[in-house]
Amino acid sequence: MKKRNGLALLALSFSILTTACSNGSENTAAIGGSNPANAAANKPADTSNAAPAAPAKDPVTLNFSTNASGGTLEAFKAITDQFNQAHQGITVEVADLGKDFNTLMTAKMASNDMPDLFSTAGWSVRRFGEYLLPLNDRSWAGQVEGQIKPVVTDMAGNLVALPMDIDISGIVYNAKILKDLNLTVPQTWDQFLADCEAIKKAGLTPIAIAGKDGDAAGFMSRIALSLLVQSNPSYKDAFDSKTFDWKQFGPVTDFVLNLKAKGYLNKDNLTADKPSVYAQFAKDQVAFAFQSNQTIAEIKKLNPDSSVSMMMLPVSGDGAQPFLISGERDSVGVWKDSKHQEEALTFLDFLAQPENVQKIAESYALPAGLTGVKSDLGALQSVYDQYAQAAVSNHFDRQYLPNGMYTTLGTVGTAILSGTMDPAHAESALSDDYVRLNNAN
Amino acid sequence: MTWRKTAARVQLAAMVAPALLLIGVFVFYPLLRGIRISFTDWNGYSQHDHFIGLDNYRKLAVDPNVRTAFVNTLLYGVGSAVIQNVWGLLYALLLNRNFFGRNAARAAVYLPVMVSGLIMGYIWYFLLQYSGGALNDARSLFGAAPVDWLADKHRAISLILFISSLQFVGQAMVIYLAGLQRIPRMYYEAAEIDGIGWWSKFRHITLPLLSPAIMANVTLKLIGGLQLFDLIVALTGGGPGFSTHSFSTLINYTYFTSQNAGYSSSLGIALFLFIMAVTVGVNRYFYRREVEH
Repeated sequence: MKKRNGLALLALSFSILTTACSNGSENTAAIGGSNPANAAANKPADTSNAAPAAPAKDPVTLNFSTNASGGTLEAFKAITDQFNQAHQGITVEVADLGKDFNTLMTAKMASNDMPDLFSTAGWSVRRFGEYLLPLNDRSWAGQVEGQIKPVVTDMAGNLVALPMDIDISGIVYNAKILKDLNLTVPQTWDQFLADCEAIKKAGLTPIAIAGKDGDAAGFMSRIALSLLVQSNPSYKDAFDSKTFDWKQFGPVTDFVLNLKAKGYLNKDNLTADKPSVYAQFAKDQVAFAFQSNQTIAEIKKLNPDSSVSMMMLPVSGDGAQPFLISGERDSVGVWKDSKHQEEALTFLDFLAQPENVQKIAESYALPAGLTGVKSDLGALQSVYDQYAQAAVSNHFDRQYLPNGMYTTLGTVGTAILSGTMDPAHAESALSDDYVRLNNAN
Repeated sequence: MTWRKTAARVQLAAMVAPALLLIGVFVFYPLLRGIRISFTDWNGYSQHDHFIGLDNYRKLAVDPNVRTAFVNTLLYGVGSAVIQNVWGLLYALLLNRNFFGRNAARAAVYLPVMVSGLIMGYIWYFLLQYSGGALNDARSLFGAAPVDWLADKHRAISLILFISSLQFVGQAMVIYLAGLQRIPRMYYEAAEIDGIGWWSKFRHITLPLLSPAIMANVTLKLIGGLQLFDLIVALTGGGPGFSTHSFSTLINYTYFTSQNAGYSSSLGIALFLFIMAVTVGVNRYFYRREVEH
């Protein structure tokens, strides 16, 4: 009896473990209608009176992982719902990874188990390129805007992602403050510093940094792009050949420390989060933020009458021209090893339909990533029109730094601002990561 | 007899096997993988890595950020253990008496334990925020200038310690309450007959007989403090710079943000060895001092 009990217990234990470790798809088959994929297949389409059809394909559930947030996420979900309604047998599930996107995607890359579709979050080629299916043969491939095409095309000429919009940004500024103080939109850093002094004297905050949310990275990278790459061709060459000597980073750290010493930064630059910066902007207390245009949309939510706008990045003179930053924001690619490539491409083609591209682009008032799609840019339309012929550069980190260094810039930036790291130590930390990540990528 | 013994062994093995299998898969395998990765330059997601010997361990010995995180971790560990034990014992002594509302008071002290560390961190962040934070708003009512509470590393570390202790002191209190209720009343009665004061009773009866509870509490709080993670993430993110990082948050930062999984693994192994050494040392110390009654 005891032996029988023992064996039964052993069998039970292993059966529990086997069940726990078994393939999900087998469970799916057993559970039947409770699965979303089957639910999709059982949608109340007009098939109730249809004659017996040829054996249908097994229902497919696609995972679409995205870092989109706010209005963009809602737009993606609405488009996905429409797709699921219109396509029997395919169910797309949106996995909203939010702030954990990079961490979770890193784990997925490590295990080579990527979602069927995923947002490329600015890194379609350099980070995700080896996991993405070439898309040159899609009908919309020829419509990709020239400004964004090089960013989503790898060295071999493969288009690796569908760009829904183009992230154009510079410096976010409060036009009302500049107007009230009779200041002009600065074109050079000297003018910028003069404006900051006037704004500070008026009792307002010239520049806001959300240090807690890693905002120092955008701050440092914009200044580096202007002071190093745009101002000195030899630095650009060194970055291009991955041989930049970080002892030359001094102009950037000096400039940042100068802004702090003169009291141009918000007092809580180390600990503020982005929502608190948006709130200060909405109350017309802050003049400049080195952030993307998503900030403009967030500030407008708090104060629709805010005159917040976008300006070009100033330069240090000597013939250099102010410029804007352009790059990918909401791009979507298909995992090259997905078991459901055909269905994933069907969804991607659906995303590429003009009304869907428009929906995503308008969610943060950005220009569309495909030609022939008109995005309503709202109050920013005149700004984009004004800068239509402006010089444009890719993001500093995406163009000139190895993948992974953006956050190093942010951490080193806050360390410099807090005084816990001197410029020499900062340059050494940046150099170490530059070499290591260049070797790893 | 032999057949019965074999059957008993099979039965025993059947009961232990699932647990062993789970521990093997979820504890030992990751540990062994972590040790292997610590000798490589793996970036955390690539399909390839390179063996680099002891380079990661050599680097961590001289890395100033590791030194900062190590000192902070000690502060979080020892600080949590001391503050929560003293505070928890005081609460337990107070709430072990009979008075109206005793159970409500016990619940109020214990309730924060049930809140996630991350949520607790965000709540306190909103209280301490420079712009729009409740504490600065309260100060402004008295005409005081706002303070950026988390900008100074020493103050930020102290606040992390305070908030962590405030949250988890309820756990220590519960363990001490259980310990206090285990002490036979007769010792106190005998002491009272001898005219012994409360301090002597506390020192010579309560404290020695509480040593199992003290051991459990010190060990738990020390480990909890050494592993402090979510509160730091929510309050400061390890900043400004690296100044409030603990070993745990630095490991997470190094692995996922800095994409240096090999180095991060070496930090993890170092933390594992450190916690193990401290725990063994503390257990041995208290085991020797344990009093039987």
